[in-house]
Amino acid sequence: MAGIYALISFLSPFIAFIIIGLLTRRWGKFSAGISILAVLNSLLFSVLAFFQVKANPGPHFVEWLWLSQKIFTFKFGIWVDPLSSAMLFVVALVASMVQIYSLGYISDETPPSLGRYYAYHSLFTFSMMGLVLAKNVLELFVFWELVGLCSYLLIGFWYYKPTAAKAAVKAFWTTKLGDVGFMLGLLYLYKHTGSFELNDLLAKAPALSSGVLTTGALMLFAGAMGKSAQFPLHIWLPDAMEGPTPVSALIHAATMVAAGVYMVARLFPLFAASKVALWVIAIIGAFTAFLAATMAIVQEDIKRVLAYSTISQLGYMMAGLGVGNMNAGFFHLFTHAYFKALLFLCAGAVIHAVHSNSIWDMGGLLKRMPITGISFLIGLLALAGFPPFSGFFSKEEILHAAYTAEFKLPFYFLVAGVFLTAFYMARVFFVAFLGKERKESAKHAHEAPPSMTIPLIILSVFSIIAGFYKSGLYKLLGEHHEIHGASLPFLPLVSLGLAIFGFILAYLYYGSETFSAEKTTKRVFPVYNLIYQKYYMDHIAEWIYSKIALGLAFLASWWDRHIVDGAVNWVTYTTGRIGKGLRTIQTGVIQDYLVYIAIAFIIIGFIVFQIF
Amino acid sequence: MHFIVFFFLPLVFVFTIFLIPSKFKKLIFYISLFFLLFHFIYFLYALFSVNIPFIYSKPWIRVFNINFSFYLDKISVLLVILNLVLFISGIIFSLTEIEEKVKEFLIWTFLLEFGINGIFMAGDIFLFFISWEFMLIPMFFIIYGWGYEKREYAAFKFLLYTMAGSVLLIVGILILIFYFKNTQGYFSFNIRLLSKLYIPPSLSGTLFFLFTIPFFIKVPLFPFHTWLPDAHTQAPSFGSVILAGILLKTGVYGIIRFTIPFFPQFVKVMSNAIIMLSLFNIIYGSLMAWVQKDLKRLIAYSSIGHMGFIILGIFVFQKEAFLGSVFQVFNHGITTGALFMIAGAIYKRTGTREIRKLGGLAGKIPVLAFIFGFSILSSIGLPGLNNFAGEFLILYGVFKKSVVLSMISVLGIILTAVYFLSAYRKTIFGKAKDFEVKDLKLNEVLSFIPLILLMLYLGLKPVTFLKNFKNTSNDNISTLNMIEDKGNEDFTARH
Repeated sequence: MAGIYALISFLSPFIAFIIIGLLTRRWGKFSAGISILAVLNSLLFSVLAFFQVKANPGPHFVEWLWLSQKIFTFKFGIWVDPLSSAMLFVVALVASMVQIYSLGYISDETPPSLGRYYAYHSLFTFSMMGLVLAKNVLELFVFWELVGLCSYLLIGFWYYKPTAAKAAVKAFWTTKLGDVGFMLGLLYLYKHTGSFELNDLLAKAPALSSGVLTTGALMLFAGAMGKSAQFPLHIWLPDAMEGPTPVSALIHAATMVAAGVYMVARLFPLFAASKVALWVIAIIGAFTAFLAATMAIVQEDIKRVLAYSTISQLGYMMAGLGVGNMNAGFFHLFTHAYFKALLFLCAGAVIHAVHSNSIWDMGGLLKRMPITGISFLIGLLALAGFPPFSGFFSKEEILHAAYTAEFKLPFYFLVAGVFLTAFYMARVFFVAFLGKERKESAKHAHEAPPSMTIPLIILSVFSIIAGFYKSGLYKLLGEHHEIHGASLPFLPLVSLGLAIFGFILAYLYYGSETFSAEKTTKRVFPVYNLIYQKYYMDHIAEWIYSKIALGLAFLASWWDRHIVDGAVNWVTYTTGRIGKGLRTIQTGVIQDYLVYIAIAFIIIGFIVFQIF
Repeated sequence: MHFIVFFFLPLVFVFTIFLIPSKFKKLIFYISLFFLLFHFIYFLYALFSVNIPFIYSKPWIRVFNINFSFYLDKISVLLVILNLVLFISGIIFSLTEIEEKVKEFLIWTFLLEFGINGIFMAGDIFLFFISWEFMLIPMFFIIYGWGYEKREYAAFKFLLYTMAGSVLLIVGILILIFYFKNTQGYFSFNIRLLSKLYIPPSLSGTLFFLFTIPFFIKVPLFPFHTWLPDAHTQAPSFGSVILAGILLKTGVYGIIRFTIPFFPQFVKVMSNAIIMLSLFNIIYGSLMAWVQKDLKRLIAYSSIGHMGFIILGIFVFQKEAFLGSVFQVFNHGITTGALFMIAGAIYKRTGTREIRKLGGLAGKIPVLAFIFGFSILSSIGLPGLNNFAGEFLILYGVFKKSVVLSMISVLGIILTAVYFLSAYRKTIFGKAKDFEVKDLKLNEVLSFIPLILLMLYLGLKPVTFLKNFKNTSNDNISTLNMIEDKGNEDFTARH
């Protein structure tokens, strides 16, 4: 039954997409209703599937034939097991919250564009669920590309904004860069195992030689790096904030960007069999976690702070997987989805009220928008890792695993990240929600309508309680591939201490203003500027894109037009010239022709005599 | 028998249209459309009444033992179907694009169809060559008569370039025929018979080039490609659709039908060089497409990149890749056909093909923007649409041969995404320019429908298409086996 429930859950957004796309696109509100009903239906059935799986972990399959011939047989199907059903629930819950929230958020769009918005949302939800439930890696890849497409479409939803259109393209090709790595990885593993099926791959993985495993795993990880915005392919995610805020919450915080982490978790036995691959994942994850956190400190746009925070948290998840604890990584994904979606939706409510993204245009919003403010605080505490909020538990797991791993470097990055996380989140809170109004517009802010606040409340509840589900989730996922270490009571104290320190420091800078942020900035200006310029990574990417690649293309174009085509035109031109030249010897004077004949005879004679 | 009727029907159509006074423009269009649909249905009917491969032969010029013969295997059938589909879509589309000299246009159209069918159906190298040459003339006149501003230059370039290839081809054919006569004692123009001939290494080198360069010009492969951007850009939409959708495929067809079966050993020797060339083509075409200012030129260069993929798939000599290439031949025709029609529709509405001058069309012409986006997604190989399955198979075959090669070829996939999406952003997204534009007309929408349905269907269920080609004992893939087998044994041993 779990399979059927999951299938219903998976297909209902697709049906909504078809209905909206073909029929009701023009009636915006009606389309929104269909889409929301479908996704609530998905939520219901995902819960049912989840409980079924809890009773009988399966795995359960439903499958059908897609491509079959002598060489390949691809079956499409869904695979429901504890991991996928838990993820399915996360997707369904966040998607339904975001869709309800969007009703209030983009209510002033024209009906057709509202219809388009919900059509994309339904397509996204369908694709994301397909990715989660995929039974073979090829299918996973198909949906992987589809969610990328939806991301592209939704970032570019306000297509008339040039920045949004640019960001959409940038997101697409940056992730595509990783995706081709993923595709090659699939082919590589297929070549060595002869199968795309997940269970075959996982079963055959231990038998492969370590070189093959490492290469294959790293190719797959390239895809995960693109999707989950890991250094150095993270550059697209901050720009993706050009899309509507609910989209950022759903796609670029809670679900799609977690797909990379999910993929690694899904194929974890394969990755775990290669030490080198895990090591690379741990290092890249931890480094990303740290690097993105530093960048979040200097951002002025509330959404960009959250975007960098997302990159950083995805780094945590990757690091958790990389140090060999799959459960910890997935658990952090599970909790992060709620509180980060919550934070984004709060940011959306604030932006909606203030009509600006900059935190320096806000201030004192807590008393004007109490529900939003308190929800934001809950999300913040969860993200910064204060007990008893969910982030505390999941982050603790990762830190614990990193500490007990034999290779310690990731641990230091992650611990430093804890401090930074608390600092940058507290900074936003103090600047935007406390203190006095910094701009006129902040004085007119109102609490958001119920369609927006109700999702906030629900997500707040999940942000608080999700942490307590740890043992339940672990039991469900199975305790496999976990590195058991001695219980380390000082670790939570250290990280909590760091978080509190970060919080207090932020208070001193931005709350009480005991320290002046400006003075500190001036004192460390070179460092500040380096971070503010995002370590010049965007510049480098831009340089590679426009100078190297595009320059090469222009060079090739010049060469093509002038040399290759020039040669062609030269041939025709010369032929014409020769013809014209030869025409002049056609004088019509008989004496001339006699001379030609004589010359010809002489030349021929010479040739003949020389040869013989 | 049905195939012979099918083959000559376009001439009947031409004659009928000839009789209608040229002032009844719409009537001529509708009648031709009816003819084309009838022709298509008749082809399907003929297909079901015979076995594939279909062989028909009748003496024609007895002195040289030239026969009027057909040979249709699955690849031929596939290409004829593609041809008919694109003709139907293209003519429906042209209903509102071609407004002058309608009668002449349609006469050339049917002559073109006649020539192209001849190429794919010929069982005799003589008929093949005649059709090969015949096809150029209507195409030349379609570019010349109904094209855009630089049509004269483009038409002549197209004609001369292809003629240059034909000269090589006719020399190659003559050498081959006389070699056959010298060794076997009689003339034969039969393709299957010729393909069984053992050609000594001393001769096969020369012949290989004579038989390959004309096809590479058609495909086109670097450095023989420069006719393509001009011809595609300057041709009317219908001309571009047929050029990109079918005429390029005649080159691929020639390679599959002649080059590989005739000179298997030499092909093997040359395969690495050709693989390199086609990889170069993929990257080169994509880079070129990226910097084009003209929308049609961009699509034309993208064809060069995609065709590079097809040639790559053929010359790595892996079954998967070969199958993928055959599939891509069809997919590329459908997708690029749609893209050229879109470019034509945009030009008709805005009066410009320059990407820089366009922008913000999404709000004004949503249907066109949707179809454009859909075709682009198909072209960049989105899973679930047609190009993905083909590219995937090719990539797998390439991968089996060499990891490095496949890594280079995926660069082409990335670049395709980059340039197409950038072009889409610049034309469809962004600030709206003040154009007075109307969305697609009914006939235009109708012309896109078959193409879009095919993109979806082939993407969602490629199995229905590929299962036709799965049997390895079938002669399509036996072309590949031949490379393994032929060579040591002499000419009588097989078939």
